[in-house]
Amino acid sequence: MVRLVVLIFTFSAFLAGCSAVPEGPDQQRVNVAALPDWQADGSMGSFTEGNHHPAIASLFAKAEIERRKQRWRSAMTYLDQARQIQPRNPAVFYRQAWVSLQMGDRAQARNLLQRGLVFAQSDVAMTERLNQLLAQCQ
Amino acid sequence: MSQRKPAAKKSKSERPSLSGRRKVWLAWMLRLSLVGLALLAGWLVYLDAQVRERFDGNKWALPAKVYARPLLLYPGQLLSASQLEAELSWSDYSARGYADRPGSYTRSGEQWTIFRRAFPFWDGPESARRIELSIRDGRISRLREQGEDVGLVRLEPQYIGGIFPAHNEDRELVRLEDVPPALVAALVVTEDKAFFEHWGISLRGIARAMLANVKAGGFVQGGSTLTQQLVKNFFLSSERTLIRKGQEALMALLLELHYSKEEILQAYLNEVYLGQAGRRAIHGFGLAARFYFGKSVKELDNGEIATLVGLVKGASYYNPRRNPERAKERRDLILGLMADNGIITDGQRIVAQGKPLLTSAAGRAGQREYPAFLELARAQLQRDYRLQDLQSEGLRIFTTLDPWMQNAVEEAAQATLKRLESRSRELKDVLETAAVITSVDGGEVRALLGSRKPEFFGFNRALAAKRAIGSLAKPVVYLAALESGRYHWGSVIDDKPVSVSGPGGQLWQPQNYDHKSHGALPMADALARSLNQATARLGMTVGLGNVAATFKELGLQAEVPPYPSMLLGAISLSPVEVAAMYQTIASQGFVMPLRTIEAVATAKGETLSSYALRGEQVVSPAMMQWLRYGLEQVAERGTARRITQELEGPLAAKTGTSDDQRDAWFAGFDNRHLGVVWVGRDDNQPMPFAGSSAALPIWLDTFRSAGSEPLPPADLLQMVPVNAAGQLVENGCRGTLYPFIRDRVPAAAGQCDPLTEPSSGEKKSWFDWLF
Repeated sequence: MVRLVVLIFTFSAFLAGCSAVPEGPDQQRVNVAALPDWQADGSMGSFTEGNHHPAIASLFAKAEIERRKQRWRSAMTYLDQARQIQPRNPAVFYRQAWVSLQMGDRAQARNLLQRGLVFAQSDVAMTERLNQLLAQCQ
Repeated sequence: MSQRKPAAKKSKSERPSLSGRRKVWLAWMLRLSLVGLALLAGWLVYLDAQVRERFDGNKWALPAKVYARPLLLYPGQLLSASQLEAELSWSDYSARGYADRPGSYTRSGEQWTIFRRAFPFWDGPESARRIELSIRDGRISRLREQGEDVGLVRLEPQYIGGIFPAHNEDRELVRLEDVPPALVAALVVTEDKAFFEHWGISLRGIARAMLANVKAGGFVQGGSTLTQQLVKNFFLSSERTLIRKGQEALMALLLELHYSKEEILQAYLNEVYLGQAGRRAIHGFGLAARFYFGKSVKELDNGEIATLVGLVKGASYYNPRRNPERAKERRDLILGLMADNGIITDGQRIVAQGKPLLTSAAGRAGQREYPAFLELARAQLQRDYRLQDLQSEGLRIFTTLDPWMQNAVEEAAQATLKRLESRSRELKDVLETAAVITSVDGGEVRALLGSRKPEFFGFNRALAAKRAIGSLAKPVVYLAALESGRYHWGSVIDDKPVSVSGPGGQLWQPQNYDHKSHGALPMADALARSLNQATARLGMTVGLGNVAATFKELGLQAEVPPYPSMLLGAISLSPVEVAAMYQTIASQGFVMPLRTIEAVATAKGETLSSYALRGEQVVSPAMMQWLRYGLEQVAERGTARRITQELEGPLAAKTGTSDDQRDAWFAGFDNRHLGVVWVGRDDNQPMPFAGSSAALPIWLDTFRSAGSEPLPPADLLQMVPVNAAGQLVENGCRGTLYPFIRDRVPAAAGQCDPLTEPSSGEKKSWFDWLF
């Protein structure tokens, strides 16, 4: 019985410890809701759409401001900072690819989307959305 | 025949009179004076043009300043207290009881308050910010500013070096209004008390200096005004001739004619030479304040002001680090002058003179340079920028260098080489090393070591030392085998003697490290144990051409000759080339150039270039995960098992040792970083070490101190039982589990030897254990 008490106590302490520290952005998985709406005419919803880690959300917000001003290089700078924080987030690659397309760099857009597909793997909806944009890069 | 007439003598009356001669003489003098005046006027016009041209335009060739990556702070980020403390100290932050000014911080247990300085980042300037954060279990648990949660804050990046013009002059430009008035006043009373009264030269000063020099019987005192000193440093050479002295005086007059005292003072404050840091000449009070005291010129106290002003007379002689007693004496003298002239009170003088002379460490991270990394960064910059612009336009270069990782690899290399060399007297100071650390997913170069002396500008082994890579080539052979479709990790291959005749009739007969043959064994074991004979046989079966093509596929640009010895690494590559190749494996098949530059901005903050990820997915991620399994076995139970004994796995790695142990290599990656380490001798002589004993410890120590994260599960693979003959068998059959690419698992072909169920009652459940 003593063992049970010890185990319950240790388990509770473990849970309490875990709950205090937020998980790193590298541990978060994203789904298709993290991608902004995209229309076949090329228009894109806001880069800030979807739920993101606070660091990524803050960089997406800055990228969105630049996107509205059509300052593509600046937008790409913020998105690449987001990529360095979450290097396997397909939602970042999706936005970077779209900006590359606006810059007229189809090959780069294609490469970035293919990279996004590597990390979308089992997410069918995400893969479909990435492929839709990939079709525009051909 | 002609007759010579005797020369007729002039009569006395014909000779010019004295007054006539004087007139002629005067006329000549007048003419000469006119010519002299005309020449002087011409010279003046020339000097005037020189003065105005130089003073109106860009006064200085400003070297590009190179910065490390900024430290990112965000909730959930992996960050130890020791890393944060070190990075703050390298950026010259001071620990205080209360973080009340930019550049200070306070820590109370897990809670930190940091007053970040304003900084012009490449994507825009950011003002000073006072942030609070908590670090728990090695991660940032909370980040706040003025009571509100914030998502991301960057600390300003650390200076890591410059791209200097010919004389290696460096300076940090300051405006007069940013310089403490006490500094300006102290400089004036010390160097040129009549500065605000004279027109560039001071006759009284010259007379005083001459008197002093005559009394001393030699040159002990100069009569130069601040303006003359500026002219001397700015326009002229250091030779001491009368003509040069005259030129200096004329130019000083011209300078005063065209420019205000304030403009001249500001130029002086930025021009004056105040010390030397290796190859770098420290000019101006802005950089001197940073270099000697680790603070901006605005932040200097009275004692520090006096110390810097004291350096004007002799930067080397009064160097506070090398000659502290002399520097203190000079400081105290200047503090006395400051008090005598009402710049500070007597009380302030007593307080300042009572303080010891404290300077920050000369070789500290924030002021030292990182030559190996700078060389690679400079080479990459020169694809887009002219060297001349990099040396003179004051560009600001933002790079990928991670000072924490760099520090870890430098310390690991120092400690390991010292340990290795302690084993034999003959080895003392002969071992050399090089290392490259990159981020796994983006190819950003995070640390680069080109020598065991990391601050030495010299042969950069990380870039230029081409050495045989030994067994680091083996994963390429196994990848070629996996890609052929004929092999999997459970395939049985033979480790027995090999003999291949070369084109010249010579025989290639590789031996294993232990000089034994190990017979039939699974392919995974052959890689884990780094068996040469098994690998050579496998490579010959797969085909030399296929293996050479696989090197290319992984992004290797160097030529790989299709000789059998290539299978065991008889290819000479630099550590950076090896890193680029392993990068493709670590990144799951994305070939990308290793990158050092994030962005380039002008001195005024305008972004000229920014660089994002570029690359191409050339190998399927599933194939790379399959190969990674083999490398994980090396780290788990093979020649690199020491790393998983000390760090949490899975990790992927490969050891490498070239013929006769001339080169020791190690390449390995965790979830975030790839590291390639080389150890060897510059004279290419053998060493009594292998990759696992010389290069592995550097990698291990680096990843231990910088932080390591295990690799994620290979989600594109599926474990399938394989029997002892290397054939796949059905689940439930006896065999060893090996991974296969999930959607390409071949049909089971082996005979099934069913597993027997454990009899019930043999095992207790966890519930039984509790009671």
